[in-house]
Amino acid sequence: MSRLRTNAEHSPTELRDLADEDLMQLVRRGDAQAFEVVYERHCSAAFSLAYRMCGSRAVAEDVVQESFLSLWRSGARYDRARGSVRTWVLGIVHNRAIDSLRRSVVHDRRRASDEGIEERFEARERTEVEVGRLAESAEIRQALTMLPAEQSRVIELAYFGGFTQSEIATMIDTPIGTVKGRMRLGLEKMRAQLGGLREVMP
Amino acid sequence: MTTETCPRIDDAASYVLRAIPDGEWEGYAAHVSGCPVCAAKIDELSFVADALLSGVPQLSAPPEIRARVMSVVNAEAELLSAAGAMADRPVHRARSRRLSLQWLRPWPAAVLAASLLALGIGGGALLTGGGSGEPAARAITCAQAPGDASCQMRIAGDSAKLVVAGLKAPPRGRIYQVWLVRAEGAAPEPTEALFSVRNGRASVDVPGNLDGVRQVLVTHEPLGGSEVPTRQPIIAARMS
Repeated sequence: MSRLRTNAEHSPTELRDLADEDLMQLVRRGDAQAFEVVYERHCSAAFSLAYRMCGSRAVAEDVVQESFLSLWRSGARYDRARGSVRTWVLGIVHNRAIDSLRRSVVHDRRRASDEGIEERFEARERTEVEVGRLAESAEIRQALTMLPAEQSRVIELAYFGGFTQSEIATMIDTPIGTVKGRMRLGLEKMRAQLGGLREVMP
Repeated sequence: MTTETCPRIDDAASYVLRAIPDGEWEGYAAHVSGCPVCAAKIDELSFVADALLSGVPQLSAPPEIRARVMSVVNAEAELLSAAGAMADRPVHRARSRRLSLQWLRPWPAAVLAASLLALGIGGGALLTGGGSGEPAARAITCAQAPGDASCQMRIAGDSAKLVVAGLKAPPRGRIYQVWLVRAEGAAPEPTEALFSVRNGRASVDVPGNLDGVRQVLVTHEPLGGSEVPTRQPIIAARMS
């Protein structure tokens, strides 16, 4: 018997035992329960990324909601050869957040943290997998903070702020070539530092 | 280790960080397609960009999002199930209040109208005949498409297919989306037809009821598509 049966033939427990990639096959067939398991696994990482980029709980919620609905409606386009489901989900969130930032009428994209949200929604360590992911996340953040400040700044402005290279050059009053060079040097250093992570990242 | 270099190698970092403006992205993408040095650097740095997505302070998602998402998903799954296995996902979808609010920034109609004029939409309708009682097929050629690309709408009975050739892949993290315009000046209606290209080619079934459709548009959108176009159309075909 095929491991993946038709819709609604898996118990919730069975679904939770399936790998993300197998769940996505069910999502592609319109299985809402399988989708819910995918949501459970990745919603916090998605919200964390959206909140880091948008700096507002309401906007982050919109970005996450729209991203997961996109995932639900576009499950057929997930290609496991191009990376994990988690990376795919976060890529969708990242794109949505950047589009939201760049559409913003008020061109003030400086992070304006909702008061106390970090405390209210601090991630809980519930499973071994989640503990591992928190440690992995901390390792990546550590690699970023260990960069020279001028390199980490341009990376953060671009990737989490949604600014283009020319906007960053103007913002920090630095030639655009220097901005691009700092981005490359910073990413290369991070790659050297996170090399071991490449073996374990899903 | 290669000793080759390229004067545009720093752009590889901007590329993976999405810091290249949309207007300049295509130029660099064209360069990368013929530059193994930049292509290798992008491959090398993409891992870091992917890792950075997880490298933010981790929070728990507010439970309200789950309720909103699952109410839409369950409703659509029910519709899909009721429609049968051959049905496509519904085009007109249940919308939550928050979603509606988010998309209350439509693409300005004036910009859309100007874009359509600029594209010089036109093209001839070619009757290709239909024997054996089959509906006559006709092909509508888009007058303009980006670069050297060509495109046609091929229509037979109630079904329509968009066929493109020579089209560049969409920017990283984006996908082409087909839109329907039912009246002059009306907002484009999203479809579930999302596609990329292989060797510059794609053949895409255009879903939904085409009765009364005036134009078919293509834009590139974030993965998963959009409810309102976020970019100007790159392809347009006039249906009537």
